[in-house]
Amino acid sequence: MPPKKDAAKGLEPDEVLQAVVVTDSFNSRFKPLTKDEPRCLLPLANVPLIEYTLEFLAVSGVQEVFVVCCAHSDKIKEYLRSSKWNKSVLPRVTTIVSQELMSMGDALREMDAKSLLHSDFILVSGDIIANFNLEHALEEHRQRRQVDKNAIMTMVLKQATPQHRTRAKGEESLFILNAQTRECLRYESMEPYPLKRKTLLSTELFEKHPEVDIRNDLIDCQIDICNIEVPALFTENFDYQEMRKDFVRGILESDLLGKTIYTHILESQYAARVSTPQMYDSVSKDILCRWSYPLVPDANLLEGQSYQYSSPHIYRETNVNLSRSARLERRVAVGSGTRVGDRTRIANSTIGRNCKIGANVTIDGAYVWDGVTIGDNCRISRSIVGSGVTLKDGAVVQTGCLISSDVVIGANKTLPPNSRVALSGDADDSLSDTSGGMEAGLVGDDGRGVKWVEEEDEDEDDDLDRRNVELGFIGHTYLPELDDDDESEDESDEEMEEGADDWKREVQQTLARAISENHSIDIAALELNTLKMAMNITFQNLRETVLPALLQQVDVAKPASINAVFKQWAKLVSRFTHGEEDQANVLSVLQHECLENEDHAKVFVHILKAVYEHDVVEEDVLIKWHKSLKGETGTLGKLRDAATPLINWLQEADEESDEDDDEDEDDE
Amino acid sequence: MVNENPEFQAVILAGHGTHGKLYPLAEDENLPKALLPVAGKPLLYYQLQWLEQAGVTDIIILVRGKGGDGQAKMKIQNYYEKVYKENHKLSERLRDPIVRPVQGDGTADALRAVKDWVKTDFIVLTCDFVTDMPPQHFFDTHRINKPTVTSLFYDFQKLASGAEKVPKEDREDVEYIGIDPSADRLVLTKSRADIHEELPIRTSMMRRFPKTRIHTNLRSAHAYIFKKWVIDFLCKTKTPNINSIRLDLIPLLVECQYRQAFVKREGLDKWKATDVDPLKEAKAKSSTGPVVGSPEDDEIVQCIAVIAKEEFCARAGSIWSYGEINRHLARTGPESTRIAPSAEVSSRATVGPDSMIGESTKMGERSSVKKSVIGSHCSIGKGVVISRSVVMDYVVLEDNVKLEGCVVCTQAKVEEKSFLRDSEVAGGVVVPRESELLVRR
Repeated sequence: MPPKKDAAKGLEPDEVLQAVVVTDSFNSRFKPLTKDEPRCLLPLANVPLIEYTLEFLAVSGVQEVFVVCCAHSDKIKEYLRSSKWNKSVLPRVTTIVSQELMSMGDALREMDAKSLLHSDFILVSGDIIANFNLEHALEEHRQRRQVDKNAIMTMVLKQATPQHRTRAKGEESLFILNAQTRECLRYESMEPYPLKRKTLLSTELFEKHPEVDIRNDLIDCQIDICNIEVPALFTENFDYQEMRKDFVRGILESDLLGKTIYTHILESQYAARVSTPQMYDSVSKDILCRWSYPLVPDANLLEGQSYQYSSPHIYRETNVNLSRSARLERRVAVGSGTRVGDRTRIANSTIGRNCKIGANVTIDGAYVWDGVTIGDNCRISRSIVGSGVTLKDGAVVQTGCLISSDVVIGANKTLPPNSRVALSGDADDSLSDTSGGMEAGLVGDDGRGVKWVEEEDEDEDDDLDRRNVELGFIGHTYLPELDDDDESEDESDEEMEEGADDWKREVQQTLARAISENHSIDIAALELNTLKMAMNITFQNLRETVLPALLQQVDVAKPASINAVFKQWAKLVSRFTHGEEDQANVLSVLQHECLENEDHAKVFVHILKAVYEHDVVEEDVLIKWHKSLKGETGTLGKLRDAATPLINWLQEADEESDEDDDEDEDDE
Repeated sequence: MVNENPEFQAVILAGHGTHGKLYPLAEDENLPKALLPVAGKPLLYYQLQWLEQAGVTDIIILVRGKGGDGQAKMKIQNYYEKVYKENHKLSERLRDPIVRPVQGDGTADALRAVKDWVKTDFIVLTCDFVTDMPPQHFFDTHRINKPTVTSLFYDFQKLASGAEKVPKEDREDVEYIGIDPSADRLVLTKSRADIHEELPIRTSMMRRFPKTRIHTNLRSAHAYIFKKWVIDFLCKTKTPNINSIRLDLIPLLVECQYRQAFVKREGLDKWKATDVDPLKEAKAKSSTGPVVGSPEDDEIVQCIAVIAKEEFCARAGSIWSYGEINRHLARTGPESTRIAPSAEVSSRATVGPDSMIGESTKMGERSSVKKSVIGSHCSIGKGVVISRSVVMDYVVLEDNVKLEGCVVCTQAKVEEKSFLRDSEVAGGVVVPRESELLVRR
């Protein structure tokens, strides 16, 4: 082929290979650790995250790196200026600062506006750890471009089992690929919550592709080889925010654009992305176990590091002061200047520089950053302890805690699992200053720090399910069971029932949240109303679900609790009970519930009284209902008899227009 | 010597679940499907041969009917006694197959009827299954993995690629076959009728089988090797309406691999417990052997798929595929048998290398045969042009008849100068002279 024809297509071998590193993750999974420190500078095995990413790019032959920063951009700039990358010629590292970025999409639009990119480039986030060379994937991408100009992107994915520890829990995704070409045909996010029982694939897809791979075994660390068109497409589609959920999906579903996206699948190399604390934990272990070789502590990526490796996976810098009776059990890295006291036991952990660790301390699975002081008899398990933190004697940190810089945990204080502690609350949260004293309970009187309360995440995605975020906590092992188990036999029935269950569960959850978080009636009613619209259910459905749920709240041993529950929530029921017919329905729901549950049957009259007193049901309806049960025997008759005193009293009160309830209550 | 403890038994379904797709070629009263000739041999011959190669000696053939001596049963028995036995050297171990009429239409119903006969793991074939794949490959896969069921699939594209055109019904009868390629596990089977616009992929399936390849180019060969307990389970299942093996039983077993609720509902663990593996038992008792209990051992249901990739494999389920299989066998059959020695072919007639001529058939001058199979004892006149067609035995084609893509059944007669395209002529029918039947598909 004549050379000039080649020049028009794709990348020329001597063209400059560029990469874009987006340092912001645009979420708050690591807060409060990332409150004062950018995510990409968090130390992982005592090396800032971005070092791994830059190392990976350098190995892959990238010549020019653009580091796009938003939050704490000054710190990133400062860090890079003082690092070895400042002096590096290949790759040349340039920082691009923009305070306006809210998403990956914004970052790419920014790049497009600056028009610094000339051809195919590598797009990664600033928290990638990978030990392979991208050359092979790049070559594939270029060759594809020769044939198919519309192949605008290649996603580099790593094969692993679904339960693999370096797969970010709560961020799983399903890739649907052409089995031969590895073209990505569909992308589905597989977040465990809300539970999704099935994914529907259009039959059209199979007409074009006789063999289709459906892969749930790929770790997506979001390493993409993009064509220059990609940033432009982001600019065109200004609503694209996320790379996967918006861009990939949008491209694949658009017939108009006709662009294609391919995948490159790694089988044996290491690649991971530190996207959640759980991943921080897993990747740290991988590094200590040398899965990421040659990116291991004894590679001494930073200038001045002096790690030496010894079995079993122990890494020590020079000048570590280890007591004779202290034990580094296995998978431990300790930075220089650190002192470890007598009979202290450390395993599966990284300890930064200049830490002071007292005697009789147990540290297992913890990541202790620089300059931390740990008193005697402390215990830390599977947590991240920020730099400069002090744990006074006897403090205990349980699994999953994130302790931000300079916090002091008081003596003999125990931090419950998954605590997040910062020196001060969120800057936007004006309450934190005043309630600071109250929160001191967490760290003890002699401690310093407050419980970190996340700001209302208005800026976060609406479809972000908290439960998925929680799966990213360290030590969170729970994977939601698929209750695909009790489905009915017939496929069509099954679908209906699934739907039916869905709304019921949703209503119950909404209500449970309202009760536990003490929502106002207005908010709860609004939520339920929204659900009603979304799930296409009726007011009656709501009543049938809400009333039993309210009864569940009642403590049957204490009739007074009935009054308390209905005092608070009766108004909510009233919101979707209009007119006599609805009220009659309330009674029949209650009646049904009490027939099912003996405990509730015993307090039936109290329940009736509560709904009457809190204006859910009017007296005429009650009397009419009571009449309708005339002649019933069995349990239903018993229920009627139980209600009789109340009805009598109502009728009397009506006649005499007088109130006399004390006497009535004695009757029961 | 007859083998009293066979490793496998075989059930051949001759008539259940066919739904008249081969009308008017095969009718139970007239010519049972099992005896429909393919390249000079009845369909049943191919299964009997294949099973004999596999060393399966215990065979039952199920025909549709009320019991007693129905027409189909008589004819099949007759064929076996008079033709098959005479012409083949049978292994001494082979028992004569039982032919039993079973009422009902569904393939699973037919299976239930032979519950008492089945004593061991068994293979189920239909009488329209033709393959040149060595059976060992299929049987050994079952022996090695000991799954609940091993099923065979073939590449439909291959059958279609040799054809000039594929009729709409055949093309659209898509099956969605999901296989986990790392372990050849069959994890999804759906037919076009099961789904509307979208194929549902279960999350529970993706968790259990994270890598699944969905094939739409494959078709089920309807060859299954089942564990013995499956037939007991089939008789007692709580799932209603299990009528067809392919459409009901297999999907149920396949889903049991990842839907615990199904396993629980059906109490499959109890059924599985009735299946005793002597090797495993012995290992468990051994004090020196390795600890038993691989993860697969705990699995209650395992479905394995075998794909016939290189070999020819197909089902004569429709008229079109029946014709294609004929043409394939004519094309690939041995040279020596292409024109039977007793056939009288005029020296001025042409027979293509992709055609076959049966015993004692006479062929007049200027006649030509291309991509076709002509049966025995036929009389073909002068100037007859036959292409892409199947002509069965005792057929008379008068002078200047033209056949394209046709099937002409036994003892039919096409009178002179008729022109037939893409048509079927039933047995014994006379097509009057100068007829023109041009069906456009």
